[in-house]
This record gives sequence, C-alpha cells and structure tokens, in this order.
Amino acid sequence: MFRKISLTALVIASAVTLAPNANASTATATVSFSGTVDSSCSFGNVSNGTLGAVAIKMGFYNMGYQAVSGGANSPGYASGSVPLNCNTSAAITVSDPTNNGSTGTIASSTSNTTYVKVSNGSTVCYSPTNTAYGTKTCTIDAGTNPTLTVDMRLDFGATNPTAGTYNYSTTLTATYN
Amino acid sequence: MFRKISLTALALASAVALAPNANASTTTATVSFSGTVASSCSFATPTAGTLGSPSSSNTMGIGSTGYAAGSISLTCNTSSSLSVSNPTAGTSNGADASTPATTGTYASVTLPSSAGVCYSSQATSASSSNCSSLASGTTALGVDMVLSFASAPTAAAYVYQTTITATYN
Repeated sequence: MFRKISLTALVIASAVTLAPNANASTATATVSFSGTVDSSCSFGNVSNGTLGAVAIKMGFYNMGYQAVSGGANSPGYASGSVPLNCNTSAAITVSDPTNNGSTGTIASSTSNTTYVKVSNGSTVCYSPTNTAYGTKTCTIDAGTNPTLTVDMRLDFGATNPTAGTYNYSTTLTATYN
Repeated sequence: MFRKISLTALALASAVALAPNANASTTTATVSFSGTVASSCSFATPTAGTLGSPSSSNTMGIGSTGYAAGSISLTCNTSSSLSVSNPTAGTSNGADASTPATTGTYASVTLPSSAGVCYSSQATSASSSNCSSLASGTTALGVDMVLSFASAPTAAAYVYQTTITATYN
C-alpha cells in the first residue's frame, strides 16, 4: 500500500514541472550605434609634365599641349598627372600657368590659348584665362578616386620665344564639404 | 515607452550623419611643366645688290652710278654678333674682269636706324660699331660693297659676294 501512494506522488510532481506556460511573454531591446566619417580629399603623388619643343600653329609660337598645327602636341610633350582620393564629391579648379623661374621670357599679353586643362575621362575643366574652351570647374563624384591628367600650353604670340628654359606650374584645388 | 526612446536615438544619429559641413575644405596639388627653347639664328633669303658703273676714282659699289645696296633679314631668339667677309669673286665673274686691289675693297653691314655698321677687315678707313651685341628678334640689315681698282677696270661682268656670319650662344 505504501508503495502505491509513493509512486502516484512522483507522477504528479513530474507533470507540474513539464507543463507549458499557456501565456508566453517576450522582451526586446534595440541597441543603436552611430559614427561620423569626416569629408576628406587628398592628392597623391604628382607626376610633372614636359612642355617639349616650340611649335608653330597658325602663325603663333606655342609650347606644350596641342601646340602644333592640326592639334598635335609639341614634339617631346608629356602630360602631367595627379591622383585625387575623395570620400565625398569635390569641385576642382585649376590656376593659370605660373612662371617658376624661367630664363626665357613670355610676353605679358598672353592670349587666351595659354592655359591648363585638367581631365578625367569625360570630365574636363580649364584654367580661367582660357575663355575659348569649356567649363572652369569640374566636379568629381565621391569614391571615384580619379587620376587627373594635367595639360598645359604656353602661347608666345607671333614672336619666336627667346632661347632659355621655361618652367611653369599650375595649382589644382579640390573643394569639398 | 521603450520604442519611443529607440526611434529618437535613431533620428539623432541620422541628423549627425547627414548634417552638411558649413565650412568647405580645400586641398591643393601643384603640377610643374618644363621645356627648353634652344638658341637659334637664321637668315632670310638675301636681296642682291648692284655695283653700278665705275667711278672716276676707279671704284665700283658705294657711290657708283646705278649702285644699289643689298639687304638681308636676320632672326634670332637670343643675342648675337655679326661679322662680314671681304668681297670674293663669284663664279660668274667675267673672264676678263680686273682684280680689285686689297686696299679699299670691302663689304659692310648696316644695322637698322643707323644703330651701327659692321665692316670687313679690309675697310681700313672705318671701324665697326655695335656689331657684337645684337638683340634677339628680327633685324633688317643693309649690305654694301666697294671694289677698288688700281686703274680703270676692264670691260667685263663683275660678280662679287660677301658672307655675313651671325654668332650666338
């Protein structure tokens, strides 16, 4: 008799422990993280260009980009280049050629065919003096990281340039928000 | 209540991420180009002169009837100096032509605007001036010649020439 009672009690205890909760509840929490990436643009290593020899185009003496009649570059001409790395869009402007200690002289009344051209594929912009060509500011999209090609032409007008060394430079400025 | 707090936090995070930077920043790069223009000088095609008829002093050239100076244009992109040779007989000189004397036979080059005259070495009665430092650019030069004979020259064709040399660095 005692054994029977004891077995019945054990069965009930087990049933209580394993029974499912008829009304289930849950609790959730959302944890957010935030951060800011500052805008930045930086130019990489510059590759300088070479103006090449004097050429004559339509009676004008030129050196550099598209200096020869027919649109060809001066013999020996080489473009410059500089990579640009931006994590945001940027506007590129370019200065007119600046004389950096040339021993030769260029007439002060330079025509509008003395200029700098900056290009990356279909994106092209020119220095301000060149009023005959395209836009003066180019826009670079974020994350494109282009290598900008830099071209320069010096126009000496109808006067054969004096013998000497011609050193000119241009400054590219990337403006971004 | 918890959901409201959570959404507010998300909205703030978005505002921080999208807020425009009021101060635009710039970065620059300088690209240099260099080139060299070599020194050069070149003469244009010369205009020949005319010696004219012998004068009473047995000279042909400057001062002779029918005389005309020659000319030539020099273009340099650097400074230069000029020299001129004494007259030499041309290949089409007449076979019976008299030979001019050394003394008094010379050639000369005249700079524009009477800036100077460059004489050949046999021009003992005059000295050169401003022939050693011509400025770069184009210079129109007049060319003169005198042939001096010891006696009246024989009837013949007289063709003489002078060589002008521009020296530059």
